[in-house]
Amino acid sequence: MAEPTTNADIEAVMERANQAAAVFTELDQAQTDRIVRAVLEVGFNNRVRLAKLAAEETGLGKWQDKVIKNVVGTQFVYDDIKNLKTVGVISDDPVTGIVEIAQPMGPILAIIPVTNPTSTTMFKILICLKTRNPIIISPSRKARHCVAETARLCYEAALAADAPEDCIQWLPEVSREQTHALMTHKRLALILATGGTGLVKSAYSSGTPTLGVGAGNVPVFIEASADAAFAVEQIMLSKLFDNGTICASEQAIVVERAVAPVVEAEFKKRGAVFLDDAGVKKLEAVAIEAETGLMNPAVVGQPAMTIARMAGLDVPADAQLLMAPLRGVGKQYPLSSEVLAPILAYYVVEDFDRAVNVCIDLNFHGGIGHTATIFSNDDEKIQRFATLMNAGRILVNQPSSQGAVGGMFNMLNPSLTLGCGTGGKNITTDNVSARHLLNIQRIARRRVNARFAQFDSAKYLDESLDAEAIEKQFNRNW
Amino acid sequence: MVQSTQKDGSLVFQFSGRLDTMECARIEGEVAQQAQAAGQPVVFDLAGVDFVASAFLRLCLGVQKKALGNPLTLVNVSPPIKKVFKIAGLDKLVAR
Repeated sequence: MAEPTTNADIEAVMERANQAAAVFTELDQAQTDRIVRAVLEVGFNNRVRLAKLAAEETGLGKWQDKVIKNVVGTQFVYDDIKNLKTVGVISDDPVTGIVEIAQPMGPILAIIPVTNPTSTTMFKILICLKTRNPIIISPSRKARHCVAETARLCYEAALAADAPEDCIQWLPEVSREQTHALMTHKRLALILATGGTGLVKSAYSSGTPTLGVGAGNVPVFIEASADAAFAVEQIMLSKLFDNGTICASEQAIVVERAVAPVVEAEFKKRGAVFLDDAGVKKLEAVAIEAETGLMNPAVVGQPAMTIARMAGLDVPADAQLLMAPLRGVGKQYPLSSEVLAPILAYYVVEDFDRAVNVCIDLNFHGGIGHTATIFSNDDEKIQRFATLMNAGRILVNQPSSQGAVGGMFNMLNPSLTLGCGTGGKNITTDNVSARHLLNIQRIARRRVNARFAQFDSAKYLDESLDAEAIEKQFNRNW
Repeated sequence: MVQSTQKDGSLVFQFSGRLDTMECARIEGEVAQQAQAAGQPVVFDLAGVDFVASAFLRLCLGVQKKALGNPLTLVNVSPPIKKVFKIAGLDKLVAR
């Protein structure tokens, strides 16, 4: 059982992780899978208790929705990775002569955000153990107790299934210095950085390979052919989920004027309140910090009524969602930025092209590479929308929060670490999972390229032969 | 020949089709000269434009410079062209 770690213990943590990494290399696929199964069971069986712990400690979101997040982080993730080959030879192609061998990477530092603490912890533990990588968990200061409890449960279950000692370690006390020392440690193989922009940037700056995430600012386009009532129902389901704490949650609704009356009526029917200009001003004053232009942490994950009270808004007592009609996108329209709370920017535009242009503005206003959503029954328009967005996930006719994490409303890999591509300063647009945590070795057996074998390489020295002439001779097929 | 008209106190240029390198080279001098002489806001109407080369981005920057403080605004910009200006960091020219 790992002891709580102090600032002075970083070297000891890395030493233990390194030893666990060494022992991990001895495990075969069946042994590995038994460990993963044991962790899945303990995580899933504690999904409610851990959700309540997370909600109590962080003061964010709703415990009932955190249960669903824990289910995604365990059941859905497990279902996705359970049959994945992660040990030894994972493919052997006699035609190409290429054999692929999966090797673990080594100790992985997992940064855990305050918004999804227990679910992200279980998700990262599962994908690390499945790939035989020791994990060192560094939680948000505001979620350290629930993360420690999650890690402890998983570690005990893993040990009982004969996992290497210290395959899971966690840092109850986290300081910037500790995190920095870990990130830059020469024995650390990878950082799984899920968190705010500053933290992800410092992970990338550490010199250690990093799989990170980017900020979101998810535009949702309700196109004229959409079933407007269905669209609004799905958006409410998503935006109210855990009080909007998922980074893929909807941030702005863009509606073609033809469907706007239905959309607005449906929102109102479901407890959304459309603010007037004065209300928008009051709301932006509490939701966005004037100095930074970023969301105010005090509103993150809070119910609409709590935020309405903070802003001094006079809204019905059963208000679920605050809608802010805006005329533009950018710094002069603070609520066009990401806010992880039940607040939505709202735009009504004349036609498809204008709607897509607003979505492009929103996409580029802090959400490049993340997620964009469209409600439409016109495949051609869905394609056009998708090609014009810079987003790793283009979700069609589904709730954005639950859709982006995968597994429930589509067949994306279930994940609580959503890559945002180079636009989001990440190396992948994938939903990060176990397959990203392997070093794949390739045995390349001799298979001489027949065209190369029959070609007279001396011809490359003849400057009179241009590309076309060489290609003709290189590709000659008697 | 690119069409220009007066509308609401602005000099409006009407473009259409492909604004490739050749076409931009052909119209650049005339557009820049008219914009400079006008001494008023300049509007580029891109309705019907389906391609812009980097020469058109340069043309926009050149006109903005020569308009001597009068704003240049792009209107009726299709989403693919809007994305070009967005990625190029010139989207402030595009009317909201």
